[in-house]
This record gives sequence, structure tokens and C-alpha cells, in this order.
Amino acid sequence: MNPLTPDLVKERLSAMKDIPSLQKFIQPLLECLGQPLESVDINQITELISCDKAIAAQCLRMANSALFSLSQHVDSIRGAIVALGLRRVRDIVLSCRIISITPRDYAFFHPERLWRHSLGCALVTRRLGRRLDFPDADKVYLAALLHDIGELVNLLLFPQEFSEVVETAAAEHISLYDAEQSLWQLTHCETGLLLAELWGLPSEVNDAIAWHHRIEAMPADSPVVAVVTVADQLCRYRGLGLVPYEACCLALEDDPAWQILRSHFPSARRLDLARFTMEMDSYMEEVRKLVAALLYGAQA
Amino acid sequence: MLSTAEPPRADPALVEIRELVYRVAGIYQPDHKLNFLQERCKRRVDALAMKSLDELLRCLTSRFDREEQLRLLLNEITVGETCLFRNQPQLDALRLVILPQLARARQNLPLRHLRVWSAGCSTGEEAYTLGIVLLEACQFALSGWTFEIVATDLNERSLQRAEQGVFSEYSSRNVPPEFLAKYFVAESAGYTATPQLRRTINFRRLNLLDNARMVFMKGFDVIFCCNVLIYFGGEAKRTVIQHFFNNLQAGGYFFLGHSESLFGVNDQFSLVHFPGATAYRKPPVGGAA
Repeated sequence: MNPLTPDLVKERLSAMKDIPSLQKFIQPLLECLGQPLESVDINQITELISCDKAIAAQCLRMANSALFSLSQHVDSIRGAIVALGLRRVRDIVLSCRIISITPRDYAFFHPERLWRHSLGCALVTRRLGRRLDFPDADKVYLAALLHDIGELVNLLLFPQEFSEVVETAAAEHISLYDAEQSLWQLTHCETGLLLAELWGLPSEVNDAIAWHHRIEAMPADSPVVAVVTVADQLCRYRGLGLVPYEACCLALEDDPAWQILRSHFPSARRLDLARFTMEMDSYMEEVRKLVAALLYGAQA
Repeated sequence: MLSTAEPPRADPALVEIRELVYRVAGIYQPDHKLNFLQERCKRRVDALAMKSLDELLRCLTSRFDREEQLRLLLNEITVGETCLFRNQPQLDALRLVILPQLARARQNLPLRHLRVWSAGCSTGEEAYTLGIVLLEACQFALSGWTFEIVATDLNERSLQRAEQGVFSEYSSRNVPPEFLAKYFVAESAGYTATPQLRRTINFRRLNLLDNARMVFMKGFDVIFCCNVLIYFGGEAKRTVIQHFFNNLQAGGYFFLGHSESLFGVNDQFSLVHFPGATAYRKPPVGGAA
């Protein structure tokens, strides 16, 4: 097999319509919600979301899921914004919109698996961020949601080659990253970054996409990439990995990402990781149901 | 159209009972298992002719016999959990990660022997399961190795049953058919372990609080102690865990039950994640993997 090259990825990306078109949707949201809260026009956001009825319905389904622990049921986008706040609603809309562009007919790799992992990772990242007293824990949601977007790029642009990567990973009980390295010498970190640059995503999102498998090689410590990396690994170890099984173990104490978090956040030393892991299992269940509902409209 | 039905909210008394059980026994029921906890609490509510979980919570926190009541609740939470091949992710961690890791670490050593301890083995399901996993491993990852399983319990009747090695259809339900055929003989009483499997296990009576005997349980590579420590109070639990730590080889692993944690009990072990399971590891000599 000819190894993939960045130029080939760029060439095919520019010829794609579906993925780049997402930018048109997420860019206004990112801009709108990047502004100070007092200058945000809630009507404008409500309108932006509500104009796509399917997305609006999915957002309400997600807002009302157990993942967000609302004390009252919401039945409108405006109600969701009031109850959950703008950032969370942005996160929900982005999640639903991004999941909605996913193709569904690849026998060798079910995109449901990618979105379970990505949504699970986003939720774990936010939860972990809160436990660590991360400043603005909500901000890292997007970085976690998109950290593996390169796998979608690989799936859409190189389905035949990607099927071999998936087969290798499953047969050898290794991660897709390791299988990509071994077969292509180019991974979803690089292909994802090419897409992120095309979309003009915030720099911390780009960093998470590019470095979540080799944080130790980053030129400077990034707590955002560290928290996404830890959440990514925890999800892989609790049944929300991209491949069914990786024969490996993770001692967080020795993990470079966890060490960065420990050095930046004193609360990391006090965190009951065993209990946090068990708590995660609850929202892993919810994530499974929710992603199925978002992709197929099934009752969760 | 997607359902937007409101999810049910947990009873605050149930959440408090969960916290109490975690604080006292180190056993945690996450949100998706609250229904299970509620059902087990309900058994106690009915047995005590109470009307609500609030009443049970008061009983567990302020009644004169609260310790006994908590023990009875813990019995309900852990009852019925014993069967062969009960915790597949733990077994996969042993089979696919730990055993190959040990084999690599000791490939240049003359002694290729593995010691595994099933502590609080009850009627032997865990010990026999480990026997099968290790016998199978000796054909592949641990080719040329020998091993022994020490299985201990305080209760002599449990040990007698364990030594018989007879398991019901229900206890054997998770055993892969090829292992059932290879390591058991089907009889009217159930499935009886073959002599080859029985020979791998050394059953002994042992009180985990017997310090004099615990110091002699040396040189284990892996220890399993599932749903046993929840019955020990704070200081006793710390002592037992310290013994387990001392009894392990450097780099050895200690497995607890699926819902148990050592947080706040011992900080010498490192928490290690495996797919679907966690374990505690005694740091290897020199910090090498």
C-alpha cells in the first residue's frame, strides 16, 4: 500500500463537500458564543439552531438526557439555553450537527463507535475539568469532541486503506493510531489537523487533535491537551474505544498527561480516580443510548 | 421524532445510602446501578417492616445496631455474585496483559514459576476460574512455566465445598463450552472439576486478620480479593491491605471487586486501568514497567 501523504490528504479534502460545509454551520456558533455573555444575542442563537428542525429536536433530546441532569424537562431551544447556559447548548448543538454529517454504511467501521467515543470523551473531559477546578472547563468540550476528527477524515477520504487499518488494529489488539503509524506513517492526528486548519478552529482544539497521542513531544505543557488525553484514554479503557479491545494497561500516575494535570492542578492529587472511573460507567451507558438516538432516531 | 421524556431522578435517601456504603465499605454503585442498589435496599426495608428508604437511612446511621444493619445491607449488595468466569474484563487483563508482561520481565530468569492468591475464595469459583486461565496460558504466553494458586477462606464449610469442586449449571453458565468439556465432568450434581484442574489449587483456611500467618504469605505475583474487604473496619482494612502489599512481588497486581476502591486506605499501590477493569499495582523495582 502506498503510504498516505499530507498533500494527498489536502487534495482530497479540498474536493470533499460534506465535511467542509460543516464550517458554515459551526463558524457562526463559535463566533457568537466566543463573545462576552452580555453581548450575545440569544434570539439570534435560538434562530440559528431552530432553523434546522431535525437538529433542534436532537438538541432537545440530548439536553433532556440524564447526562445533563436537568431538574426540569425543557421543550424549546430557548428553554434549554435558560436551563443549561449558552456554552452547554453550543456544545450540544455542535455535537448533534457534527454527528449528523456522518456516513452510516461502512461495514468495517461503524461511525457510531467514533461518536460514542468522541461524545463520551467530551463529557468526561468536562467532568474531569470540573473536578480539577479547571478554569472554564466547558471550553475544552469542543477540543475533546473533535480530537479524533481525523478518523472521520480517514474514513471518508480513504475508506479502502482505512479498512485495512481497522482490521490490523482489531487483529493485533492495538490502537488505530498504532495501526496507522505502522501501515501509513501518517495518523489521524495529522489528517485531523489538516481539516481543523481548513475550518479555522481555535488553537487549543487544533492542539488536542494534533497531540493527544504524544503529549510528551509538545513544545510546552498544555493542560487542555492533557485533560483531553486523559479523558480519551479513560474512555478507551471503559468500553468506548474506537476498536473493540486494546491489550494494554494505563497507570495514570506514570502518564505524562496526568503528570501535567497534577503539576497544574493541586486537586488532581486528591481526586478519587477509582470512583471517578466507576462514575464514568454511568454516562458511558447514557452516551451509548444517546448516540444511537442521534444517529438513528431510536428511542433511548 | 426523538423522545424527550424526562429521565427519573434518584431518591436523595438512596444517594445518601450510596455515599455511606462507599465511605464505610469502599464499594460504589454508579448512577446506572442505582436501581440495583434500590432493589437491595428495598429487601432490607421489607425485612425490617419499614416504609421508606429514609427510614432505612436513619437506621443505618443512628440506630444502636447500625453496624449490624449495614453488614446485612452489604450482604444483600454482594449476594449472588459468585460464579465461574464472573468478571471477564479482570480475566482478560490477566490473560492478555499481565501474564505476557510477567513472561517478558522474567524471560532471562531461571525460575519460571507464578503464584496467584484467591483471598476470601468462598466456594472456590474464582480459584477454579484462575486455574483454567493459567492452564490455558501455559500452552501459549507462559509456555514452559509452572504455577500455583493458593485459595484461602475463613469459613471451613465453604472451603470443604470448594475442595469438592462441584458447580451447578447456574454457577457454570459463563464458562466457555470448550473449557467446560476440557476441565469438568458433567455429573448429576453438576459439573465436577477434573483432577488436572483441582491439582492447580491449594486450599487453606486463613483469617486475613491473623497477622502472624499473614506475614508468611509471601511472593505472590497476583492477588484477587473481591468483595471481602467491605466487611472490615477502617484500621483492620488498612492492616490487611498492607499485608497484601507486602505479600506481593514488586510489580505484582492486586484485584478488588468490580465496585470496590482503595481510595483513602492505601497510597502505596498505583491504580492501573485495563479495558473494563482496574487493579492496583505494587511499584516495580526501579520503576520499570
